[in-house]
Amino acid sequence: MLPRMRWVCLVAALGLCACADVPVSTGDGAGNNGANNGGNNGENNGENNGVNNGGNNGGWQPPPFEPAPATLHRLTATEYVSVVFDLTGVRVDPATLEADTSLHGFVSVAASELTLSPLAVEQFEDAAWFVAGEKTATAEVGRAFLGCDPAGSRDTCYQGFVASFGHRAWRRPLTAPEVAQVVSVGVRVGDRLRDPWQGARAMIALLLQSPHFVFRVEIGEDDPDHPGWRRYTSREMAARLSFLLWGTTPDDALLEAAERGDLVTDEGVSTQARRLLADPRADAALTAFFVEYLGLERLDSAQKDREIFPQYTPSLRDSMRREIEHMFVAIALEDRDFREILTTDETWIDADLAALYGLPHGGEGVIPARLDPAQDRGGLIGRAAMLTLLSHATLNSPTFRGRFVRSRLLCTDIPPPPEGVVAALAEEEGESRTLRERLVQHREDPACSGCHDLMDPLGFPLEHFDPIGRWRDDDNGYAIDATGRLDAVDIDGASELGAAVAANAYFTNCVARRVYRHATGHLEALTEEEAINALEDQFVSDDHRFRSLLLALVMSQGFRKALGPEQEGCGEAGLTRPCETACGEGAETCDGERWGGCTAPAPGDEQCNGVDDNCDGNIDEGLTRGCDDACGAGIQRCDAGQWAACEAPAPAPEACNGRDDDCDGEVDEDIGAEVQAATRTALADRHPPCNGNTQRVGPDCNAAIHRYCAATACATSGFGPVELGPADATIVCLPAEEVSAVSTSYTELAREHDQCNGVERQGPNCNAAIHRFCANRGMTSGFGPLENSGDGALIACTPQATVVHTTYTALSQHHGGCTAGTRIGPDCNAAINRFCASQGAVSGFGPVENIGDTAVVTCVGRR
Amino acid sequence: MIAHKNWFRTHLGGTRRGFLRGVLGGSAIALGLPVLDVFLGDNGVAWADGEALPTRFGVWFWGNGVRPEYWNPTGTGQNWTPSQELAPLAGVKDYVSVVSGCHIKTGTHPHHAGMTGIMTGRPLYKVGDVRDTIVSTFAAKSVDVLAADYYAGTTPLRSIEVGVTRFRGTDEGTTFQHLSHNGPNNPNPSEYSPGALFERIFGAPIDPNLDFARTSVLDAVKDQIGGLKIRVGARDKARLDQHFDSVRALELQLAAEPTACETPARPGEHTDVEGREQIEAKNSAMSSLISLALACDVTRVFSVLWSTAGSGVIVWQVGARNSLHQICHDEAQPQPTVHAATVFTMEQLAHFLGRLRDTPEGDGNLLDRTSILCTTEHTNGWNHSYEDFPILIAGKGGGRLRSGTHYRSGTRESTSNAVITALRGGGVPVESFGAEAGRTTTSIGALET
Repeated sequence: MLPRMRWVCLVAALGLCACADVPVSTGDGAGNNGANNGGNNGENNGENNGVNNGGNNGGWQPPPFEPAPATLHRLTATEYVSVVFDLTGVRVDPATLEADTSLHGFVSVAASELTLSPLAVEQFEDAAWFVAGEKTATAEVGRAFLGCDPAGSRDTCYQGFVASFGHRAWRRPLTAPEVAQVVSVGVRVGDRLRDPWQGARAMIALLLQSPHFVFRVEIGEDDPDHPGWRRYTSREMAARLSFLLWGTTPDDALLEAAERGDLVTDEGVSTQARRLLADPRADAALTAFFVEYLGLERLDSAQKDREIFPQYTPSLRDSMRREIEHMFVAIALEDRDFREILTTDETWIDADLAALYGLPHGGEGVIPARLDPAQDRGGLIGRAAMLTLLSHATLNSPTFRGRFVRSRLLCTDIPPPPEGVVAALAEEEGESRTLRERLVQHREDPACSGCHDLMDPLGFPLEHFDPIGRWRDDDNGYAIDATGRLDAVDIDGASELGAAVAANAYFTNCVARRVYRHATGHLEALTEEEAINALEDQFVSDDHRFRSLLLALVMSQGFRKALGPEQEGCGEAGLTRPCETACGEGAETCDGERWGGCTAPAPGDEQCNGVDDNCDGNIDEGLTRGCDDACGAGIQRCDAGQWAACEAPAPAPEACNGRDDDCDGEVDEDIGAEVQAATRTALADRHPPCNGNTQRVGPDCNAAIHRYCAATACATSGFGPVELGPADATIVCLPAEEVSAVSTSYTELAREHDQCNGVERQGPNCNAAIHRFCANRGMTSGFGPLENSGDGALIACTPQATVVHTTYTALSQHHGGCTAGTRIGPDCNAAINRFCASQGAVSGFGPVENIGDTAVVTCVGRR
Repeated sequence: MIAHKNWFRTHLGGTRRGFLRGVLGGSAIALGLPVLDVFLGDNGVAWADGEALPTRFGVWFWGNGVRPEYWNPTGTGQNWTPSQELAPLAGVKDYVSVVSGCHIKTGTHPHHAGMTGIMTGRPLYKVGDVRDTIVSTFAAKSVDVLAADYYAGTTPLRSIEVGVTRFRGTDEGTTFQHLSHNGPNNPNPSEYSPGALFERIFGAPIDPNLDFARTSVLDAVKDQIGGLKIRVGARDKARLDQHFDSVRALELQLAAEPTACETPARPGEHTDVEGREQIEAKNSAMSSLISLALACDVTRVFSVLWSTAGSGVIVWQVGARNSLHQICHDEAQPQPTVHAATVFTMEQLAHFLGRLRDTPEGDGNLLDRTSILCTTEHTNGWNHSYEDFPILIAGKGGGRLRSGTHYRSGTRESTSNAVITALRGGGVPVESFGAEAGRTTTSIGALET
């Protein structure tokens, strides 16, 4: 194995270790093992280039807005309970439903990614029959609910009920065939059991198990304002507004507005959104958003050592959470400047929390109060709920606390610790010190400091608060140093931290961003940056009123527009169907996405082989082919399965081979980008660590390929591997016109993308940094690093290349292994190579930028 | 709530349980001896109608790995001495095989790659586009679902998924939350409540009329799913297909044969006492429920998520005061608390295996006819190592497994070889398991009869 820096990070009181990449490829044999690019298994973890930074990086601008595809949203357990109650007045016990899964911070995202689990289907069936039973428990209850008596004119009653209850349950009128289907089930069951009430019960159970009920079906309709896009229909908008702002199904007024078609107009959406936002039901739904935004639901499972913190009880935990909810309601929902939540000294305390905060309390209930200024808590960040959530069971965690500020409040990415990091606890020496001193290694070890400098200095100002948020004068008997730093702002203590975050422009962008993610139920794509930035601008110009932000959001294109469904799939994996070709019959199998090839022999191009390859009944009909003989043009004819001799010579494209292939009198001139197969040995000869076995990609192979190409007569540098064979690698060499090797430094590169900072030297962030570096210097794009030395990096700029915006969906058509899950690595190299070839280029590299399904790649050469 | 398990209804016909009903005139058999010898053939290994007693497959999973220096036993073959951490299993040693020297070959990302590598034999499946953490799910069916597919339709429940210690919440995808997966982002969540698991296994009887109504409704739901599918894109179509499969599975449950068990007493919930998780009591309650479900042939497949990947369980029983995941990273070598927590975990596993062994069936016991893959997410929580992965295979698999063996691989085999051995030992005749570097067609011959 190659030498590898040993990672020793003090991990006491943190869940993370260094976030920098494995260090240093020097390009001369002492480099790393390229592990992060070594597989196509989705372990390359860098992406999201500059997107979450809320600002421009190296002049980068987001691409034009494009809405996200419409998706089905399953009802979450919480929504299900509310919806059923609003529809029927029956309470389903939430404990009988599986807990909601959260993805990317929000249950709403999981609701559009996941489907109902098999268990949830059982539970929803159970609940549906339970509700149906309750609503038909007696004839009196049943008549009130159905609005008629099925024991009388049964079919009319069934039809009327299904039409009216179905409309409310499915959030749209049912079509006539849909009503008929539901009624037919009622009739069948009612007849069989000789009881019309049993039929009614079955219809209720059916309406509540329908995919039209358990999913919010949103498909959209053609958008008259923007051909190619869709807009959510008036009915779909009613559901979107209601579930976002009320957490439940539309009320009658909203359903009526939907039927009038109001909700495809600005005025209609605005009118209804204002009405919903003014209703107390919005308070609960928006507060629930804020709790999710903070990750506060995890407070329930935050355990503390009961010997050190005997007062930490479930009821104290509830008091802590309630305080935050009160703060949100008082500030966000009273239309104050939302940033006050970070600075206010208002609190809402019961006796337990008053004791924790050292405040007087009369005894019963929750009362508003002001914090004790001596405790210097400031707003949200210094409150017990947050401090408790962001600590260990016995110890504080400045890292957790700082990470929360950085990633939750400012939406700045902090990469996870690198793979294989050995997070060893540094042995304590001598006297135990303050936690801050024990974490010194985070700051001093460059392997750790790259990331911990982003986090720990935002946690230290909170060191006056213990793991359940109590004020403490000292740490372990030593004076507390509560100084820290947010970018250029020096901070001392929690109030100053809160004020610094409130004043930071990233905070408002972050709130807008998370509201957008929650509301639209998907991880935002690069093409939605523009919408998010516009939302932020509106938020700022409306004096940071939270309700204005929501209003702006529901009015925005991001919330109201969609793209159509992706290409039609074929159904379940493993499904087969018969098929035929000109050559015969066979079967084809669905892989879950699309039909695989037909097993019948495919008609091929007729070849000179004595066989009817294209199944047209003729053998080797009219076959000719061009040939080259002593560089004169000519053709060959097929004769009885054999190619006859070449009738004339033909020139060939010039290749870098020391010959005059194109017969123009010059040797090896104008060689463009050239795809070459390099053997494993040939590459290893240039740089032994790139041995084609354990290492086939990564910095060492970058260096090997660069040197290999540079050693040919016609090329200056190159990249790859764009395809991998068992014993060779296909690489692309570029001539001097198409590539310039540029010496730069990671200090420079970090200006283009701050995460390509020399600790991180490869992967998507560095792809982006190099790309931007070259682009900003008029050289279109680039790749690398080719060689590394200390801070120095040799990169390749490609002045004649073409930058192409594409998607992983498209790339995966070229290589199935390159998906939005894979993002980078050998399969994506191959996919990009093939993609560029399909675009008429020779090959390409990338992704040079990527987010969501979007991948930006660079194509080189012209065929 | 209506009852939703219906295997108590009168079921006439030529099945063995129909035979049971006929003999007993419809009264149920006392629990604890679900398969009375009178109903078995003379040899005690088959029902009187000739149908063999069932084989089962299960997974018992714990998070945070082990302390390798205390894990691997000395000696190989049948002559091995349990290590300190395996010592709690001494009482069931004849039923437990140890597999050592195998490796996860499908990636190295901490927690994620190990969890998906052992359970699917494949690399993790990354979800979404975020930088501040990895969000992953399983790329394919987990091993227990392969078994559930094979046994589908033979029992009222396809499988049961059970959680013991509490999930403490991470936002890193389904890999960290769930054990059993039907595919990407399609987990089978574990049931953490003994009461709810009890309801699932022993729901009250219902009448055939309601069955008819439920079946009619589910048929209509399937039609509606089919109608909706043609209007949506490929991704949503796949989600609706999963939904359709779940509805169909529910229909199969309705159609399954009734079992011959009487409902036992409802277990307690074993909630926290003074902020402390009652792990032993809950493990014991869940172990009993699983034994009953197997003995009554309610299911042939189970999975136990004793603790999640990277679990933050506080094993206060061994003096731990912080989350186990945290201690794995913080505690000075040789990490006595992590070691003690591993011993504690194996005691809990021993309790579960003992419960199966002590449940008689035919001429033997449940553990004779069960194969259980017992494993974790990485070798060592301190550095997330995937070398020399901890794996046990418990049970004799109906005579398919040579239990009580320590097999040590000398050739850096894939962990998938152990997984496929356990799966085949559970009577599931798969041809291969895993994909890419984790794919295997080869089981470990030394552990098979």
